[in-house]
Amino acid sequence: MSARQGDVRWGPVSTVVAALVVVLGVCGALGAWQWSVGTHGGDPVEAADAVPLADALAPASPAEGGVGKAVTVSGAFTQADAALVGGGRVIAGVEAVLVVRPFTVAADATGTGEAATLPVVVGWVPADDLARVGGPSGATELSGYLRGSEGASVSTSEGAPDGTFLADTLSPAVFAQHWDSPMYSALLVTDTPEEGLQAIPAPEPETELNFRSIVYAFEWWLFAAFFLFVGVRWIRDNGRVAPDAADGDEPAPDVPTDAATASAAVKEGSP
Amino acid sequence: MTPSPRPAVTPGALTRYKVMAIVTGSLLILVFLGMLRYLPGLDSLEESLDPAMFLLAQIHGFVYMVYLVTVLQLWLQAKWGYGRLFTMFLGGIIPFLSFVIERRIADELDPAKEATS
Repeated sequence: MSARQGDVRWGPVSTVVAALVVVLGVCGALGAWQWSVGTHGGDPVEAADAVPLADALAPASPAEGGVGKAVTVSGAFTQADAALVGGGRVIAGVEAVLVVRPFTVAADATGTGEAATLPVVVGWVPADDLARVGGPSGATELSGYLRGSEGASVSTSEGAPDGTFLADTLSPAVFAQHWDSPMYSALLVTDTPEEGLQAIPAPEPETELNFRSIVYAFEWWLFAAFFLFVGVRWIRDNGRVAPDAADGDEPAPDVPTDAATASAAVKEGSP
Repeated sequence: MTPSPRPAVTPGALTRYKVMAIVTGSLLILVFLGMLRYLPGLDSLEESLDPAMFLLAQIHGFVYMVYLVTVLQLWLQAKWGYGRLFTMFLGGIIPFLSFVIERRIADELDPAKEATS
């Protein structure tokens, strides 16, 4: 009642500021979330988060949740034939063949108490240089990430260098014809390639998903900018007690006098 | 109280708003029609319809942003209240609302009526 014209109407102004903070916070956070989804795409594999293989995947069971996880595993490479998986894939502009070796996971590391065979992608070679593939290393501890299997294909030992067989897809079901059971249904891609081989590049993020999320992020931030603009304008127009609204009544929306009081308030507020 | 001067709405701003209101409203109806496929029994449409619906929703998102800019410009020029701004804001989210508001605003700012008022 004692409000004089020109006084700041702290009640309505603080309400609007509080509402603005909430709206900007929500829009900003949703935008930031979409942005992080968009720019990181497929979850990058964090080697620091590596878990023992038994915590991520059990032998001869579906790989669903385990794919993409960084794992460590102990055991030893078997002397069985290595798989050379071609199928026309291209890495760094070169027709590439992936080298996959059977790794016998120690019985106390599988989680089932029984040893099992894990297909391990140890690196790649150019398709015209298969002779570079040597024998398995003596490593007993491996680290890498789990990769999902591909569809089945035929495998053949014809035309393959000694100690290897050829296949078109990364399919444990196909490898099982050459290696001991039980097999894991996913593959391990090692962090460091075998000597003489080249490292497998990190999986590509999904670009379509990226684009959509980034668009959504910008849309959220645009909403935030819109609300910020309207909120600031409201405070400028209605933040002070207008000359003819000394009681501080909220001007009803859509009332024509709004314009007159608003412009008066602006004049009042400016130096 | 001083009589409120006739708001200075430029024809350009009004035209831009009207065009965007109609475009946004039409797209919104298409998006909502697309959602009908979530009705039980229409699952078979999923594969054929979804890519198109996704694109449509994206376009609507962009167009809505442009619509908001035209809304803001017209609202600033016309010096309307905040309730009007809110209904204009909702116009791109609630089907058919943008047509209703567009009609009302067009009538209100009609030069012929302005002369008699």
